[in-house]
Amino acid sequence: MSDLASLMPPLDETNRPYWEGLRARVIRLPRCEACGRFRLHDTRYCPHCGSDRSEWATLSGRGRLWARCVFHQVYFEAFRDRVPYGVVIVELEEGVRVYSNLTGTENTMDVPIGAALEAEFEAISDDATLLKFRPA
Amino acid sequence: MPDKEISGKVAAVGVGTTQFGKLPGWSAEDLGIWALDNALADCGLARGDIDGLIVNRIPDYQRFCQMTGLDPRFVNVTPGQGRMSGATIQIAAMAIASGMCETIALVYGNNGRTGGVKYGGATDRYGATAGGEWFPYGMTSPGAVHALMFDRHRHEYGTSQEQLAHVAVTFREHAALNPDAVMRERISEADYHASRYICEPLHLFDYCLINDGGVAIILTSAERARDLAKPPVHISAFSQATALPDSAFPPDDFWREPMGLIARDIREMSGIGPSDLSGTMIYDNFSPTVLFTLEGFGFCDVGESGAYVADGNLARGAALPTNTSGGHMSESYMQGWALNVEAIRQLRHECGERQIAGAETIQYMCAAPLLSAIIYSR
Ligand SMILES: [Zn+2]
Repeated sequence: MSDLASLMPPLDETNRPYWEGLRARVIRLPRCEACGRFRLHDTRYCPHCGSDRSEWATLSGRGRLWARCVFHQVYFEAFRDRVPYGVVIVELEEGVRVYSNLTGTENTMDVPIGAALEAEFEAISDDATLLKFRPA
Repeated sequence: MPDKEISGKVAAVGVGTTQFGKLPGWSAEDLGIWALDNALADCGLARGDIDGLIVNRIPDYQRFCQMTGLDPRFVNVTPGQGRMSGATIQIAAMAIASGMCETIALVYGNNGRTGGVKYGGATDRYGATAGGEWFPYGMTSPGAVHALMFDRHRHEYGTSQEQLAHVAVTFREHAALNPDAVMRERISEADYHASRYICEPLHLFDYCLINDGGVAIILTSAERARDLAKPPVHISAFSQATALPDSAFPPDDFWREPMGLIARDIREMSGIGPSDLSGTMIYDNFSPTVLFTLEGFGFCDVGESGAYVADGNLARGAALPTNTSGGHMSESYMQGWALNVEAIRQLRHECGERQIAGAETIQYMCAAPLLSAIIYSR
């Protein structure tokens, strides 16, 4: 399974707490201390209000399925033996969206848009864990 | 909204294209020069008449001037993204209207096919999926983003794959009449459905064609345009808008809000509305974009674009002839540039078998995180 880990983004101070959180099976993202909104972990300043004060806060892991697709084309060597595979957009109840994969279903297209989902943590190496979702 | 005074003050006078396809040995600059020479010949101007230059996809304007001897007063380079073609034409129109220069060459060169450019995988630089954050999930490519958007659209409005198929089939029908098109063999709806998925729900035929090629357009003031070789095609209106802050994910409204702003502007600026058009050129990187564009610019009601294309409205000779060249999915993906050239050629009535009879006004539109539209009139 280590081939998927080769696709991991390089870790730095902006994203390390996020990925370490997933390893510990929690979803942690920056929450703005000024406006209270969550954001993905790639910016120092809040894109909503401009504040640079944020804390790493834990999300519930509950969300809804926003859209689905299924890759048939191989774009990464690590996915050559995995096509066709589904990719989805999940809207977390805290308002943040993520790209992810569904577990617990043969065909991603069988799960309807709007379905309630729950986070699932899938280790792809000793160091890397992905955030996936299964129908709740 | 751009000042109404600008309407009709700038004209497209020269267009040039290269062959499209696999052109090994040609750099982006070479392809641009090939197209530029054709555009100059088209209008009867010489390189020395050009006092403005904007290059696109050609990385370096300085190098380009060293290679061509072009000696402009006004110069710029815009990012090599398809959404930038319409925006670049708009910058040129503003520069001419303001008097910063009189005659601008817009030069595009793309050797992406020979260069092995991929819009997915480790080199993905598309705004929504760049940076690798989602690669471990297998998420990459603008095509996948549009597949997700189409999935969402069919969920919200019941749009079907059967309806979507009409976009690719109709544009291929047009390409069959275009000697410059890369893909000219007609496809049926059955062919469409039998073709392989790239990223489900999108099939091979829903994707644009990466090719090598170059395009050049020469714009000048309406006064200067009067005594050139070809009848001028005037820019009657243009506007742009963006949807950038949340663009790491697809827009909830399929870009309807920014398109609505643009639609209002260009109608106000020119007095020309959807029912006045002879045809349209729609930026078709992926076929669902055509659906979103038709709704956003008010050619059909929200959620009705599937039925609208399935009714055959986009065909040459129908209500809204669209992408008569075959567009990005059948002529070649020249990132919007060749669609603007097609609009100009249609308005000069130069399009032979695929000519829109009596074409008077054509609207170019691009729906993406940077959106633009231009109305051309003869
Ligand atoms: Zn904030």
